[in-house]
Amino acid sequence: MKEKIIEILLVEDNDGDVELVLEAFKRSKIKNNITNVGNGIEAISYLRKEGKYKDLNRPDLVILDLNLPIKDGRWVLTQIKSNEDLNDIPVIIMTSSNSQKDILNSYKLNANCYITKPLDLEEFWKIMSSIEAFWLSTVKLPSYSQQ
Amino acid sequence: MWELISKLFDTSDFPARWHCGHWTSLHGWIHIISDFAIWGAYAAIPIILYYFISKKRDVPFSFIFILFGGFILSCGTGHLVEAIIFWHPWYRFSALIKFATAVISWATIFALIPVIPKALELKSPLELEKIVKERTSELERINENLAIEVVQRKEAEEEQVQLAALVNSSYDAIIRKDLNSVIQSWNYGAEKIFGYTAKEIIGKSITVLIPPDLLNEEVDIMRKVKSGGPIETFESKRLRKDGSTFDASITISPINDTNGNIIGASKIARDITKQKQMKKDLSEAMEKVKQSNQELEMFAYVASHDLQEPLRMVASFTKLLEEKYKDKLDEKANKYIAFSVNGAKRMQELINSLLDYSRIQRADTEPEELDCNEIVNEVILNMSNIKETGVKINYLELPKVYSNKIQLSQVFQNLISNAIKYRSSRPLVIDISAKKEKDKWLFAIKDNGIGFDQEHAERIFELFERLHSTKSYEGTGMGLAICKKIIEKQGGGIWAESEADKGSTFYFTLPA
Repeated sequence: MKEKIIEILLVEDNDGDVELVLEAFKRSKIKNNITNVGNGIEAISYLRKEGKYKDLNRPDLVILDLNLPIKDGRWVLTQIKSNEDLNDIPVIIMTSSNSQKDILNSYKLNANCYITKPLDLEEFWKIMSSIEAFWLSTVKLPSYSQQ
Repeated sequence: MWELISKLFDTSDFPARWHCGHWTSLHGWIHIISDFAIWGAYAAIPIILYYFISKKRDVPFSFIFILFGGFILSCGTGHLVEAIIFWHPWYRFSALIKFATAVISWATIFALIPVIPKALELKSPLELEKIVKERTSELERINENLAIEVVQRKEAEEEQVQLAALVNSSYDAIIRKDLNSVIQSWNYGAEKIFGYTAKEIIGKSITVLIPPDLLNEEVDIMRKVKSGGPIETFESKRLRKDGSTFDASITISPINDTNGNIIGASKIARDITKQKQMKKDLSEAMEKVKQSNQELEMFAYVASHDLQEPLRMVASFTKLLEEKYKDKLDEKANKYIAFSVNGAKRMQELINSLLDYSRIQRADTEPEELDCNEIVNEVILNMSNIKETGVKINYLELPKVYSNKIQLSQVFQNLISNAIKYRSSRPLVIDISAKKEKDKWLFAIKDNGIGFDQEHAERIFELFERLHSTKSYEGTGMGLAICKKIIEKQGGGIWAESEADKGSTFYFTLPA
C-alpha cells in the first residue's frame, strides 16, 4: 500500500502561526500536506469543494482557529459538524483563548479536541509532536477506509 | 305692788334712820361713810370695767363684764340708798334696788356657770407663752422648709430658663403641638428652617408645614402619639413658608402632664437636604471609584491578555531564528538574537505576572477550608526543579484555614521559589511553621539563603522592586507584590525579617 499523504486543512489567519505550524509538520515523519485558508468562508468553500477548490482533495483533518475574520471558527465548526458530508472529519481547535466558555462551547459543538496555543516555542513543538503522534499516527482517521 | 312703785320715794310711812333707834353719831356716820365709800367704789369699778372693755375690744365673755358691772353698780346704788335712808327713808326704792341687785347677781351666776369651763380653757400668760414658743418654732421649721422649697423652685426655674435657652438656641426646629395638632411653641431653629415667625405660626395647625400629598402622615403621627407609643425618627419632606419643600429628619415624642396624661407632642425637625445631598454625592463618588477600579482592572487584564499574542510571535520566531540559523550566522548576529530571545522571554513572564496580579481582585471564589499541609505539598510537587536544588523543606502540622485555594497556593509558591532562587552556597533548608496568635494564624517561611539588609524589608513588597539585577537573578519583581495583594485581600498582613548572608524569614498572617 502506498503511503498515504495526510491532507490537513489549517484554518488560521495569523501568518506567524501558519509559519510555525508548517514548520512543525515539516519535521514530522509522517507525510502530510497542509493547505491554509485565512477565513471561515474560504474554509467552508474548500470543504465543499466549491469554486477554485473544486478539484482538491478532501482533508483528513482540520486544524481550526476560533478567531477568524469575516466568519469565525465557531461558525465554521458548526457548519462542518452539521453537514452530513463533512461531520466525520476530525476538527482540532487550536486557538489562543484559554476561556472556559470557549472550551466548553467548542466541545458542545462537537469539536474533537481543543488546544490552547502555548506561549513558549518549546511547548509548541511538543504539542505539535503530540498532535502528529496522536492524530496522524495513533488514531484511525475516517478516511482510512478510503485508501 | 302698785303701791310700791307709785310711792317709791314716799317717806310718810317710815322714819329717817337717825330717828329709828338710838344712833350714836359715830355709829351712824360709820354706816353712812362706809355706804358712801362702798357706793363710790362700786360706781368706779364698773367705770373701770367699761374703760377696760372699751379699750380692749376683744375681751372674751364681755357680757359677763357687763353683768358684773351691772350688779356691782346696782349693789353700790343700794348702799348709797342705805346711806340716804338716814335722812330720807326711801325704803321702797331701797327694796327695788336690792331686788334688782339680787336679780342681776343671780343672773350673773347663771351666766357664769356655763362660762366657767370655757374660762378655764383660757390660757394663762405662761401657757400662752409656751404655746407661742411652740408656734414660733413650728413657724421657724415651716420657714426653713419654705426656704428650701424656694431654693428648689429657683433651681427648677433656672433649669427651665436654661432649657428654654437650649431649645431656643438650637438650630433644629423644636415645635410643641397639642392633641389637635395646633402649634403651641416655636423656637428659633423652627423660624430659621421653616421661615415663619413664632407670632405668625403659633395657633395654626401643624399641617401648614406638611406638603399636601403627605398630610396623612399627621394623622398617623397623632394616632401614635395618643396611644403613647414611641415614634421612631423618620425622614420625610416638609413645607417652608416660601412654598419650597425640603428633606427633613423628624423625631416626635408625646408630652405628658404631671398626672401622666398625654397633652400634646413635641416635634424636632432637622433640615437634612444638605446631608442627603452629601450622601448622594458620596455614594455617586464611590460608584465612580468602583467603576473606575473595575475599568482599571479590566484594562490590566485585557492589556496583559492581548499583549500576549504579539509577544508570542516575537518570542517564538526569535527562538526559531535561533534554532534554524545559529550555524549560519556570525557571532554578533547570534548574540543579538540571544538578547531578543531573552527579552521576549522576560516580557512574557512579566505579562504573566501582571495578569496574575490583575486577576487577584477579580477572583472571588468562595473561601473554603484548606489544609495548609496539603497546599504546601502540592506546591512543592508542582515545582519541577526542586529535586535538582537539593533543598530540604520542613513543614509540620500546618493549620487549616479558610481561604482561596489558588491564591494561597500562589503565596506559598512564590515564597518557596524565592527561597530557592536566593539560596546561598550552603545547603538550603526551608522551615515552614505556623503559630496561633489570638484571632489569627502567623505563618513563617524561614530560609538560610543569602538574605538581605533589613532596611529593604518594606521595599521588596512593592511592585517591580528588586534587590538584584536580572543578570544575577531572574525574576519580574512581582512575586512578593502578588503575595502582599493576596494576603491583604484576605485580611492578613505580610512582612519580612532578614540579615544579609544569614537568611530570611517571611511572615504572614491569616484570620483564623
